[in-house]
Amino acid sequence: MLASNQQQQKRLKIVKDDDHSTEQSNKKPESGEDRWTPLLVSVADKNRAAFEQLFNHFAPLIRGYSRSKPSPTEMTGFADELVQEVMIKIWQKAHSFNPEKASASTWIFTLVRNCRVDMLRRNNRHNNQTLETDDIWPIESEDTPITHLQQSRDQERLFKAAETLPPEQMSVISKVFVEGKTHTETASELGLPLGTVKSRVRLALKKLQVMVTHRINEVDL
Amino acid sequence: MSQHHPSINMLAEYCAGTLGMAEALSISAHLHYCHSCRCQVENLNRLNGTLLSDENFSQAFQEPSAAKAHTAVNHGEQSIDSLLQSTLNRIDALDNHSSSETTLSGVPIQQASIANKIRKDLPPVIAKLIVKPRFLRWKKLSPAMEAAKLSAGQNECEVSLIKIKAGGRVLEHDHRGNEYTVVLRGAFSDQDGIYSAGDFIHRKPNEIHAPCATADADCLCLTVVDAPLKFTGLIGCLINPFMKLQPS
Repeated sequence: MLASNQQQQKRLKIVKDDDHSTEQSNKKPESGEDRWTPLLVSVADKNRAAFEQLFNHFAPLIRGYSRSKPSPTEMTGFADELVQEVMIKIWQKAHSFNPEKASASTWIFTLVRNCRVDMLRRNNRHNNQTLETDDIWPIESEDTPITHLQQSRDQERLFKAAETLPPEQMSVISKVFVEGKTHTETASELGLPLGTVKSRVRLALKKLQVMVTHRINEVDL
Repeated sequence: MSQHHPSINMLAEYCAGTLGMAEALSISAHLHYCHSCRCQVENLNRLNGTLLSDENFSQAFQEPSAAKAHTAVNHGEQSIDSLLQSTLNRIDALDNHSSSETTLSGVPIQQASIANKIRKDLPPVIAKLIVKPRFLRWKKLSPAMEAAKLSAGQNECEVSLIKIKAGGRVLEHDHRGNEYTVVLRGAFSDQDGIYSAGDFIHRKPNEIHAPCATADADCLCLTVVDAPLKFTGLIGCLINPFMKLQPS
């Protein structure tokens, strides 16, 4: 888990709860607990120990994220390259992370998503670089300031709501979000009409209370 | 406050990063105007963040086989330790040459904000695309309508700016593919309603409509089309051969 001695010497201070990061995998997470936001704030101060904890937690998850998605098979090492690019960005951009506007996991997700889009674009000869990926998918959220408490409640609510999802909505949400398939790909993989996939996504997001109010009654267009 | 929005399904694909560049561009332009869709996007990002950061949560959503693929170690991949080591080495190299930040791609450029000062009302992403207005090639498609193609760095869709003169009518046309329109300035109407700045309109294949700009001002729109339009009237038949899809 730890890096070389050289890296250990560079630790500026020991972060609290040092042993939390990798020992969680078989435990049910304490609902609403957000260990990553304080760590990310420490990384903004160039705290290597905090960075290593984030790395040890997120690197395998980013790999899994990358692997579960349709990606060009000829690009060997894609997942590892994605991990490195994301983690380097985290190191460089942590100072711009504002814990009042997003949680670490949301912020890191947007970096992962954009890095992946970037890497796929780099392989595309039509990519003329007029626009950066970050121009189309901005990293910063500007709107609703959130508190830690609110963040934790959201998380808790999400966990509870997830347990009530019927299996057919689970499998659609899994494809669309966890595996990053388009609705069309999801429909063909599950052998369902596109309209069914769309309405299941809507129903599931409603159950998960992810939909903003004015959309609750949205029907298929 | 816009009245017409992208569907939750399209926003979900946008947030997951699976939507094509051109469609994502149209969503991004709409978000500039629309507070409620920005909130929706934040909610979806939060869901994605939770799914990414918590393996218990994401595995709850997975088929057993997919969960296995998620945790299995593939051949040719480094151990987490050695991956950490090489990442730290790269960070050290970058920190030692801290001026070399530009070697990383995806660093957002200040250009957008400069362009945005000139065209304050437009979404920054559009302002950036038309940072040099003299490079826009406006083509008259009818007495009331002009179009200029934008180069959005992809080849699946045609991305254009459309100008409709105040009170001007666009020929009735039919869509072979999907057409996404975001009103940037002014307003237009068709048989289904009135659309003003920020509104997002999705026309599906085979929907026929004849938009008409409102009388008070010219209307400027962004359109993303994944197949060429087909004009349905008599004059339309003469124009159709020129409306080939030209990705840029």
